[in-house]
Amino acid sequence: MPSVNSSLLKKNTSFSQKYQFWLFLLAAVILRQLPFISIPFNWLETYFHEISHGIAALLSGGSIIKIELFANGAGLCTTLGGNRFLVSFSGYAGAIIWGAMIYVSAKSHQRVAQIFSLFIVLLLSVTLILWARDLLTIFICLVLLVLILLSLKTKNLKTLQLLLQLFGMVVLLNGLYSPFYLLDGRSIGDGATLANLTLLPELVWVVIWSSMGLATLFLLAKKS
Amino acid sequence: MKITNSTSFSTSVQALSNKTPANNQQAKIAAQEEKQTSAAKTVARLDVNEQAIALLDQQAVNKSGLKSENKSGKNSTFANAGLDQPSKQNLSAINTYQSVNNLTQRENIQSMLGVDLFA
Repeated sequence: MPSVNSSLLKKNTSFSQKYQFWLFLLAAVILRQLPFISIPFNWLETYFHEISHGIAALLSGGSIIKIELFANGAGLCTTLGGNRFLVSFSGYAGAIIWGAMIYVSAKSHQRVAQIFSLFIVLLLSVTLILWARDLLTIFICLVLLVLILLSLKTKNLKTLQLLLQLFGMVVLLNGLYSPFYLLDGRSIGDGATLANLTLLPELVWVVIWSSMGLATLFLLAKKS
Repeated sequence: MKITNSTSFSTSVQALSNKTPANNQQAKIAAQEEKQTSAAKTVARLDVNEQAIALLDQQAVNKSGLKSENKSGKNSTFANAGLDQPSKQNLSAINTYQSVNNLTQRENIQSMLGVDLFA
């Protein structure tokens, strides 16, 4: 009997490992649909979107004035200077990259997952100190900070790994979906800014971002 | 022919004559009274007119007084401004201070105009 049990466990483990990516993808799709539970995950994607704008501004010689996060999942990054094209493009692209990075780092090694989550904690703390100016943004940043810290508090590093993989997948999936919100005919947002800068229509940029997201998902699926 | 008694005639004439002076007196009194009343009326009218003239004069005086006061007021404000005017050193200090404030305001506006919003 024990041999049968162990073989079943091995089969289950191998099944979960084999289809781990798809299971996470399915979990992320379900999580996005849940009414209240999905809210902090939406905030997480928005945060990575806005901080990507900010990091791009910093890397291109500009500075971040403030970052605003809203309860409905919207966000705003106010920058001064820097390359406008790079800063505009990096929002949606950055969210996809952050999602993929979280997922890959968490999957690679438990220690890497721990270090990466500590880095996110540091980034959130810096955001809180330097760029969060309003109470709502401070509250959202604190919620995200608690979310990551609670994940870090888990005694089993495997659980942290799994949680971070789930977070990464949710951010990636939200990053894939969010460019489609730009197709509302209002010509506002990053797509419109890029359209003004490059004379390429907003739709082109939405297609580019969505293609990036799909390509990243495809690569992760292939790797798994 | 009817012959009347002279005495009776005279009495009647007297009576007549007595009657007429009385009437005249009454008329005179009435006339005097009328004159008095009319005089009083005229006096009253004159008084009213005098009052009106006095009022007009007062108004005119007041107006001229106000004008003069205004003029003097202007002079006084100028005089006060002259008194309250800071010294040249203070003026230059205020101007320098304000120019610095304007510079910072300008910098703020420039920085605000240079700000980009990314949603």
